[in-house]
Amino acid sequence: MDAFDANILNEFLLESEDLLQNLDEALLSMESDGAAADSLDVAMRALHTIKGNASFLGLTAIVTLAHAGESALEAARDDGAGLASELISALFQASESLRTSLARLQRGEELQLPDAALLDRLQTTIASRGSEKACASATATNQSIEAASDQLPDHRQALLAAALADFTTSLDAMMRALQAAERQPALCASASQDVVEICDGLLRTTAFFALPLIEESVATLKRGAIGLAATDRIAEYVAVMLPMLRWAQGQVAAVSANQEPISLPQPLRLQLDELLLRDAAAGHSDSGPIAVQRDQPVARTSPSGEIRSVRVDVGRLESLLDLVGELVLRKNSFARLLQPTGPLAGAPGDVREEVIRLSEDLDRLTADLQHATMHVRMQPLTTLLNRYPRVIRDLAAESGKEVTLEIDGAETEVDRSIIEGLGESLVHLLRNSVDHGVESPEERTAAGKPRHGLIRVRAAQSGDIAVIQVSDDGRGMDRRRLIERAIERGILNHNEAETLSDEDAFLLTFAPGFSTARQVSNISGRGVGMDVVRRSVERLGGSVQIKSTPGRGTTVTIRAPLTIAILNALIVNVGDEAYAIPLANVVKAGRINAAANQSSVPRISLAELLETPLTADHGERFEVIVEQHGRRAALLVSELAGRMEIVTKPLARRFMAAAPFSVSSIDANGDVMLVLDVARILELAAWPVSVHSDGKEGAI
Amino acid sequence: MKVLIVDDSKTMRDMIKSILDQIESDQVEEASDGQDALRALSNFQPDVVLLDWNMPTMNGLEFIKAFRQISLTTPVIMVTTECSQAHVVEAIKAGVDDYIIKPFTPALLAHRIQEAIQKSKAA
Repeated sequence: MDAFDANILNEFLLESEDLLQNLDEALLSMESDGAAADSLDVAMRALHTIKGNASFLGLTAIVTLAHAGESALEAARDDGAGLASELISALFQASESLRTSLARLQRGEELQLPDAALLDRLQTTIASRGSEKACASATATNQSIEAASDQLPDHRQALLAAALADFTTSLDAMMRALQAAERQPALCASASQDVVEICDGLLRTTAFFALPLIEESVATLKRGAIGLAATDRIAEYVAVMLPMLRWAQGQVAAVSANQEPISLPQPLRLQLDELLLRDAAAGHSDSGPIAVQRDQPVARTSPSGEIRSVRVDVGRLESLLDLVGELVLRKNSFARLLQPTGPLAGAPGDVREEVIRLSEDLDRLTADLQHATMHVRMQPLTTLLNRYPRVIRDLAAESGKEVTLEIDGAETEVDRSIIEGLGESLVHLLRNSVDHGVESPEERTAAGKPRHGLIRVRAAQSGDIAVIQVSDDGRGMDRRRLIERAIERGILNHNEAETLSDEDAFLLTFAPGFSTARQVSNISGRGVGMDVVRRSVERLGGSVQIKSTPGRGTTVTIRAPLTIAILNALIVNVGDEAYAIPLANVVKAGRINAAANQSSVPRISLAELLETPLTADHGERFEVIVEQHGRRAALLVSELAGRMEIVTKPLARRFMAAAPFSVSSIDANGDVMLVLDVARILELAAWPVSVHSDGKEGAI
Repeated sequence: MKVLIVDDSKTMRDMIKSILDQIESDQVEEASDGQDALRALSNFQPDVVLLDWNMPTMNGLEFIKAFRQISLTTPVIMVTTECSQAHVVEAIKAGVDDYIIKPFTPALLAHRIQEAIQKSKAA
């Protein structure tokens, strides 16, 4: 009892008085009206609560008596026969005896053990019941708080026995449901639902007790039950599922007898899979996802049956995409046959016409095929965004802030490579919002804001672009501090600082090595800074934008293409090398205009930057004006080789770090061509290398 | 760590709170039955729920069924007395992650809570 203070003892005394009062009233009402369920519950709960509380206080005498009373009531309830007057009077006596004990406690006197005759009277009513309940008095009464710490092993064993007994009952119930469905097809839907529900419960039990083989059987039964809801081959399903049920019963019996259960036989499972697949293919099944073996294509249907889908191994999808890519490239080389220097340049007119016609057909077909294949790779952002409520909850907990997360537009679909590429950036933005955006509850209250900060993630599709916004209603960015910091870091000089627009000031956070967090926090100081966010988004061909109002919050907007595997590019030659520039970055291209030498657009010699030697024939005669993030530059090249759709593949990471290329492509001749990373080139041209090399990556 | 105690007995809630005081728990909310608990959840996100089973208005079983609609992962530990295996099995089937038998020591409770939180994170 000394584990608790005197207040708790007083509380216990008061509450127990009330509970005994409830008990008396319930007993009176049962005496006059029979054992109404409500009164029985009240009486049992009163004794149960007194028992539980007394156990913490080490009041063995009270625990014993309350337990005996509760068990007697439980036995009466389970028998459903009502309370004998003999039992009621014994319970009244118990109630009185408990009151006496409470009074002694109040006076600080020792408790006396309950009257053995009274315990007997109560226990005779439960004598007829099974061993499960009888275990109680012996263990419960002698337990002290100290002894309770190693309470488990025996109890767990008893619990497993109870769980196995429950299994047997549940499997029987499933069997009855299936047989009923077979006899009366109208009952099929409800039988299916019942079986699914029973399986869900059993799956939790198998997970709790770590019974993988039984779990596997139950999971298989559940799949069968889902299929059963929408099949017209009920008998075939039942014919497979009944043996499974019997098998599961055997497994339960084996565990009960301390033996290893045996796995569900493969042929049974295959039979079921075959039924499920056949129904799915025929469009019969419309009852939710059916997961068949991991490595084979899986039929899936939505509850409405309208959208059916097939889950395909990612590797197969990738190889399909590669093949489509090859086809696109072949199509490009087809068109080249007719070019003035191509092999068909001198062909007769009718041949040329036929080739043009075929080439146009091929264009259309490959475009459709490409489009269709791209869409196969698309996934809803849900897969990414679903993780965030948990992330936010943890982050908020870590930083002692209160944050509500709202997610909107999670159904927007983008290419899976975009989902993979954005994951880390989005988490970083959320971290920034929790860590630096949202204020502490006290600060917010003082500023007249609700205690809970609000972070919104909104996704939407706009044409070929996915727009993802992360916004918070926190303190916003401090323009002055950003500028101070940029000057400190040598990113900006005082003159530049004076003319800087707000938007440009926020963009400073994207500079490598920029961080205004006063101290590196546990939350945001973990490596990726805003510059990394920007780089990874741009690597996907996207852009990042920040808007912020002091005191009102910050919104970061990411725009990313829905798909990235195929790129429209301008092909240029530098010396003898060909490079691709994403068309999205190209403003214009043409001969170098001597008059434009004075223009404000900086000129970058790709030959110098990429260390590609120029030849006598291939000097720098053309320029391509590129733009990213509102910054422009003129890239000097030898030749413009035309526009092309190219299939891109990510470069190895180590290669990417060293050079301004985002991806590579394979051109029509099978040669590798590098795609220039315009953002990176502009960055290399604009920021001194020393800023890069400090190795720190900061947060906002 | 944030804990939600759902129990109709104030004495029990106070005792559990006093035990929680002895282990690391910075925020404790209490509810006197399932409905009260569901209300509390609208502005309190616990890391773990300690759930009594036998309560008026909305009992533990009804609560866990409703709660699992809201949160699949937040661990729920049933606080029970000895020899109610049938109740515990029923609780596990409904989505309770673990159970602890009254009376328990601070060390045991701390251990169970840690275990439940880790398990739910791993899942």
